[in-house]
Amino acid sequence: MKRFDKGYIFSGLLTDFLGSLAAVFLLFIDFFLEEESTPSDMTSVLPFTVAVFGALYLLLTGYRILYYRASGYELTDKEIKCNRGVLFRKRSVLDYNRIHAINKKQNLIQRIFGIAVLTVDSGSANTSHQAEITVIEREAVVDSLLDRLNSLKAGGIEAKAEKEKKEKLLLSEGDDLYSFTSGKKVLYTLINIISTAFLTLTLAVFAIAVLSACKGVVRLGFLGSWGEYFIYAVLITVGATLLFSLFSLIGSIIHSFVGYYGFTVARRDNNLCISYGLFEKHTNTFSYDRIKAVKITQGLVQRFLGFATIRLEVIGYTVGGGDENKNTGIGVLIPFCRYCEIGEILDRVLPDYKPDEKQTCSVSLFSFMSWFLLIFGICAIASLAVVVAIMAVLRLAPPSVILAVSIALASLALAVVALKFVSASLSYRTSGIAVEGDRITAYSGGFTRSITVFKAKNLVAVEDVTTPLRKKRGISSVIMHLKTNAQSNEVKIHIQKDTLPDRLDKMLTL
Amino acid sequence: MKMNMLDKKVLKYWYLRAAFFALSIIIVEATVTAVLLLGEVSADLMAVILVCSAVPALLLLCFILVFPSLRYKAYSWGYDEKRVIVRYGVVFRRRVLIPVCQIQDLHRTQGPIMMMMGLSGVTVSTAGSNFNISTLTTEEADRLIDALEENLEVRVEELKNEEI
Repeated sequence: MKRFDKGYIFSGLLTDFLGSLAAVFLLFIDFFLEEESTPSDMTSVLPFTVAVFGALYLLLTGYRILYYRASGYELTDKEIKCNRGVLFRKRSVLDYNRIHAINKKQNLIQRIFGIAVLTVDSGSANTSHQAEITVIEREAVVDSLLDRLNSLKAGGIEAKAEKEKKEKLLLSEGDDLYSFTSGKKVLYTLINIISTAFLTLTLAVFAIAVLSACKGVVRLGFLGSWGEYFIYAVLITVGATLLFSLFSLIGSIIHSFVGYYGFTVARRDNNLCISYGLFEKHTNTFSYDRIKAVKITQGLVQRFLGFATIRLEVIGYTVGGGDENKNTGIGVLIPFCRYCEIGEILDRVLPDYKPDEKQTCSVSLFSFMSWFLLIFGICAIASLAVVVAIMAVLRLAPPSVILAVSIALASLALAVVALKFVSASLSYRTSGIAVEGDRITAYSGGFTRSITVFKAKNLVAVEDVTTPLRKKRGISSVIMHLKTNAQSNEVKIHIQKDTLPDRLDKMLTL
Repeated sequence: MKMNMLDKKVLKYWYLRAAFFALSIIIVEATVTAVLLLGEVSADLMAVILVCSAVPALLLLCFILVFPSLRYKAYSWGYDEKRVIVRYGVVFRRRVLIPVCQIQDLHRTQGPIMMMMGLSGVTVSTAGSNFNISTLTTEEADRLIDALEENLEVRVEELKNEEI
């Protein structure tokens, strides 16, 4: 069994040094920043700080060395084996033909030491029992392992070293069909800022409206005259919008320029290969038949401006898991493109998953809101009644304040209902489904529209939901359960004609 | 496909469970009243708290005592060589269809009360979601699991031949 590369320990020494330093800094920051502590206090506490740092560093380094000693990997004729873990020894064996996804990852420190982490995944639906392989090696070794495993999983027979690489760039930065160029990144950032500003403004307008309603009733001095009130309200709104937009700007720049640096989608034989990242470099490789669904999403602002993001549901990749050794974070096929370009792009990359025009349309707008109105209405009226009753019985406030509070609560509830109405009418327009051959396209969502395209063979169950009243009118919602290990493996299509499930039933039980 | 109703024993079990739940609500409500009586709370505040907690508690009590029979009436299940269908739900009527070839594993679960009453729950796992056929008699559950296992094998063979 071959051990991991020694670079793992060296990069670990640096990572742990920085980590320990950060931990000690966070632990003692309060003491050093306190105004009352004198220089003599600081010198007396310094040895203690150094001792904590030393102990932490030694502990972490010890762990690294033990991890290194316990680790190892081996490629046999049929399978790849891997040992790792200090407290919990983990031994994984994975058949070559069961490999779902291969992922190469490199953070900045690992790149300085020239090493990379390779994770191989079996893609079991139960992610806690994945037979997972982790190999930490020199970058060149990882690259050759990646190629070797790719050829091994395809045919089961190791290909010759001189084999001609059939790598074909599908989409890359320099490609004329799709490129996540700086211009597009700027646009992407701008749209994120507009989204944040729009959300902040909407919230602020609601708050100002509610406060104005109260101010009209209660003549208390703390809100000032109407003129002062509006000046302050506008100033606070502008301030908040600018502040949140700044956060959004920073987040978007990091996300698009650093996270998506050098974004390329390439084809290697029967595999799709997505690489991205500046500081932490990722290369995700998986075969076409591991793709379970393609999801096209559009936020509200993106929708108005005609842009979209294309995501992939791939078996073997968990979404947002905490374990750093797992293949996380995959999912984005195209970070940002025009909505009208989607057909063209998917034609080149995944022609089987091109969305079809929807064949059904929603039947009734009221059904989208009826349950919300009923439940929210009862809750809102009940809470209003309770608040007013408590205030009146216990004589907590004069009648004008009670009236103001009731108006504030009622207008808040009305605002929520108005928001729900907008979302419901968007859902009403969006919802729909198309069945073309063995391909199903589902349109769903309110403020955020999503289009999910998948094959009938990846549909594990169909559920239809209706109420007695809706049944009489022949309408129901359809929930389709997909074969993915994403937590959200359900696609819900609201309020369609009742005949739809029958067609899906037939597809399922062919 | 023939849809089966649940056994009468299941209704008894659900009522037993509802009774336990109801008892816990009554205990909580009694504790609240006792605490209020012992503490020096003004009559107004006590009235408000009691009304605010007793009304939802009473509604909940009525609901959990009526719910099992409604649920029982709405529940039915059935299977054939190709699929499993479960219908359930009082207000939202749900109908789940699971193709036999998508079944990954089958589980039978029993709690202490279920064991005493000879009942079992069956969970059908697929590669994406799990589906419960809640509370069958143990014989029914065993028969269902055996039949599904057999159907699954036959179906997998059939599909293999079709693909070739």
